[in-house]
Amino acid sequence: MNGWMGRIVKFDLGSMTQETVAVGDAIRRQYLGGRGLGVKLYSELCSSSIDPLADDNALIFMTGPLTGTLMTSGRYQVISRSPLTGTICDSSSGGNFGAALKGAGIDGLIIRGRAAKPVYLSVHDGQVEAHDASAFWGLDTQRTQKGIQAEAGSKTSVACIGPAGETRVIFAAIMNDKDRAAGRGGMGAIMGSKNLKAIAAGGSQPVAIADPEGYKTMAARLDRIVDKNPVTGKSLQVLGTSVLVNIINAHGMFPTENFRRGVFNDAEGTSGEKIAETLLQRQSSCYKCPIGCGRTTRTRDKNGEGPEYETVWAFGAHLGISDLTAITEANYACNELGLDTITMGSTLGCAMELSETGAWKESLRWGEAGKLRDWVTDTAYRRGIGAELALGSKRLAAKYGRPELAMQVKGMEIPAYDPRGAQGMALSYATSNRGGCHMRAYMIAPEILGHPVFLDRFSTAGKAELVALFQDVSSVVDSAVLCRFLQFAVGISTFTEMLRVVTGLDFSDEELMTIGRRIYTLERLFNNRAGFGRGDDTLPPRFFNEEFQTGSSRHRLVRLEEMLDDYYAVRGWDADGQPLPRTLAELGL
Amino acid sequence: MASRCRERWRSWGFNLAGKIAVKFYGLMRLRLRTAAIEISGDGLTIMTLLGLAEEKTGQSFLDELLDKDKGLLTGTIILVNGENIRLGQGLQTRVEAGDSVALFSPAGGG
Amino acid sequence: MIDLDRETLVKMIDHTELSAHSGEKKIANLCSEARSFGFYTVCINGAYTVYAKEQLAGSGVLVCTVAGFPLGAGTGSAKSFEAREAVQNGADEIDMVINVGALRDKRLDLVRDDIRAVVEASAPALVKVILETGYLTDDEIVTGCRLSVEAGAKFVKTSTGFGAFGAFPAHVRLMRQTVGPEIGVKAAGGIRNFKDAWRLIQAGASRLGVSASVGIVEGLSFYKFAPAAWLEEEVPCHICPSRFANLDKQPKAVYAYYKKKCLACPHLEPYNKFYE
Repeated sequence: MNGWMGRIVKFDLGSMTQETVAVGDAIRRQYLGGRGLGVKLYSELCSSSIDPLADDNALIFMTGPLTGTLMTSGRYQVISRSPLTGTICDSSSGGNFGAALKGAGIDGLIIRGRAAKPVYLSVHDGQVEAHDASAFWGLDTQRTQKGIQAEAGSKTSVACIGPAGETRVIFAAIMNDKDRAAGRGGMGAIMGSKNLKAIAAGGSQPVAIADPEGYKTMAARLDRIVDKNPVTGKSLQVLGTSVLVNIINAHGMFPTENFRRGVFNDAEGTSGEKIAETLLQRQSSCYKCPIGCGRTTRTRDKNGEGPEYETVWAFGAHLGISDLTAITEANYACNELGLDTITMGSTLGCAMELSETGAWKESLRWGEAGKLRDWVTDTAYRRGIGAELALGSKRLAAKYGRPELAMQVKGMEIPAYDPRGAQGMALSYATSNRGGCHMRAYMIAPEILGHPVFLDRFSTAGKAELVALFQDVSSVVDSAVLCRFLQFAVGISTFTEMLRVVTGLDFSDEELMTIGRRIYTLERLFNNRAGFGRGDDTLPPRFFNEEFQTGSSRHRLVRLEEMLDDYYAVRGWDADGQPLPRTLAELGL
Repeated sequence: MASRCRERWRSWGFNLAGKIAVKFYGLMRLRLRTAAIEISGDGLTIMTLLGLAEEKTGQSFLDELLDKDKGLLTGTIILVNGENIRLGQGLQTRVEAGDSVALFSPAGGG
Repeated sequence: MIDLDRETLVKMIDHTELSAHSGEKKIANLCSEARSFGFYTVCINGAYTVYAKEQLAGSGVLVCTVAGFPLGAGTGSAKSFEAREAVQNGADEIDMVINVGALRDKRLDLVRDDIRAVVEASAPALVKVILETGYLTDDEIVTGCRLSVEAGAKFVKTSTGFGAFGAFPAHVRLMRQTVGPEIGVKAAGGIRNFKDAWRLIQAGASRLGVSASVGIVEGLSFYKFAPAAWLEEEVPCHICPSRFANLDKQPKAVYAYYKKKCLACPHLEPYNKFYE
């Protein structure tokens, strides 16, 4: 088999047994791998009402046919039902782990059950072994990785949880290859609930390539395209993602103090330019990636990876904090403890507003940079105020009687782009299958960055079609599995060709779009069965009722209704957002 | 947009000293080692303004923003008082004294 | 949806590098890209014909060399010499520049003979005639096309890329109308992205002279499933030569010709904000 390894292992932590899972050619072709195949397999194993932290929940690690090949191909996806949202969730991470899984001879791993004592799994030559992990339980993710590599081999790639996953914080992350994170949705909590501390993978099994000549030409082509493109060839390498700070702030939509304002006075001090001038030691890259958006940084006392744009916002403007060192060290803490920075930061902002309004008697104040690291650490260990923060913003705000102060959609916190500044982004947040996520359909690209075309961000015209298009293409990229940043340089036809050259199957652009649509619709079906409907395709009231008074997104409100019906029509869903029978028939669902 | 403001200021006898603020971001800022400069002028097109800015900083940076044919690169963002010139008259958009122009070379992220 | 596939698009592209200051490294890059992407030709200056031919050996990419470039104000025999030598060095196509001055003087025989000389010297390579639309009125463009076809050229081409105008859909449309379906129309100059390219192809271009080829080909990928929002009609003035008329770069008569056209244009009213 070309591209895929043709082997998926299911491991039961209760009985400590493994078996291979047969996936037919047709399914592989219809769902590719990664997110798509993961969601497909998950939906067959688990119902939409399963408790994510229960023993019988499945946690799926999945790669795709392009993992380990061409470019930006070290990524992997983690799929399960999210303990944070209750929706289906796939969490994506970079680094090498995806390629390591394939080198170890498998496409993916399905984990069920619960180990009696902490274990880690090692994957070699297609086989999975469980090992005692009691020595590592309680260690942070950096020490865990080093420790397990000492046992399993220095060349192995380790994906693990930290204390936050062990205490099952519902937004705990899975960390791999030092500081890469499968951050959103609380996948780390699921690992913790299974007493699974880590997975180590390694090996040198090659990925078979169907068309070696075509592969060489494609690789050369990709090198050229990515290098020539100003975003992938220059900007991301030199300035990283935080170059967006000044851009989004200049557009008046840099969410400040829990989305109450759109302009942060100290944005410059937390920008990519500032990081490059002060903290940056060098850029870092994932497996086979020439883009190199990673930031290896150091503060006076500590070093680590990041911060990325989302983190710089979540611990920065969102909290009224302009101390870049504090932000960066909070980021390091999240990496070490295994916590999603976006949800962590957003929850703190919600907590600050709850505190300010008197709804919560705790006193957390805007701009209190000094306490940032403590709050993060306490959350990971669920102690003191951290026990409350570990609820995430939705449950926290509901608990204190002000649910509208949680800036979340379906339970997942909205990231660093205020939807009042970009109508398409508003629709994207509202209709994302895993909750408030900016990556399902990154409308910032056309609406702000002008890529690949420039659109008026305040117009609702044509946004529905575009959101659906982006969601579908992104589903394909997440299933191949490749890095989304490639999308700044290449379009769908190139992904089609990459798949053809590696797998030897005669994919077409239209087929790829159908695959994307199928995956997105399958996710939607799962969510529908879990009880999500039109009422959940919405945003917190702030975005419909409160206008900014200053900045270039002032006096704007989200006009979701104008776009939502259009969106359902484009998707072939009914007025409640349920896929129509003919849509399901078209997609073979 | 800014013209009503300017008229009011003028009627009160204030002179905004005819300066246009030009702010550099992203790769340009790193290259020029300057965050912002001021250009004297009123009613200049963005194209002219960019030329003057190059003269003033003594460095060429237009290739970060424009292609060989002096058109905007995909991804280049130029804001006049927060509004994207692509929604105005592009490089022919005119700026007035007191306006603030922000220049961003193509960038991206997530 | 756009009904153009990648294979067709790349075979319409002359991947171009004609700058005076481009050295061997640039040409090597050009050829390597052409090989990877499968462009139809590389378009280069005469000094690099041999080198490009070597670089492209076994790739299937053709070499297109320019003659009498960029001014076209040399003699017919000088241009023929350039063309003959280029073909002997391996060029498969010749892009020559028409004698613009003679065309404007209406010395039709001179213009025709000039082209014919190059066509004969280039055989079996095909010849494209660059009209340099930036210095011509519509009538002159039509005449230039006619003379080129009569003289045996297989393509007419809009611009050198170094003159006053690049390629405009209006000119391409006019050229296509004049030469009919059998003769090629090459659009060159100022084609920066897929949208520009697509407009010109729809106007009738069958070949594109571009240096931004890589971006254009990837652009097709982005536009393939483009929703309506992306295919919005460009404001007519944005793609009209009249807007780009430039007294510094064009003969006064030509400049005045384009500006006058603007005043009589039905789009002036709704879009006249561009001329404040």
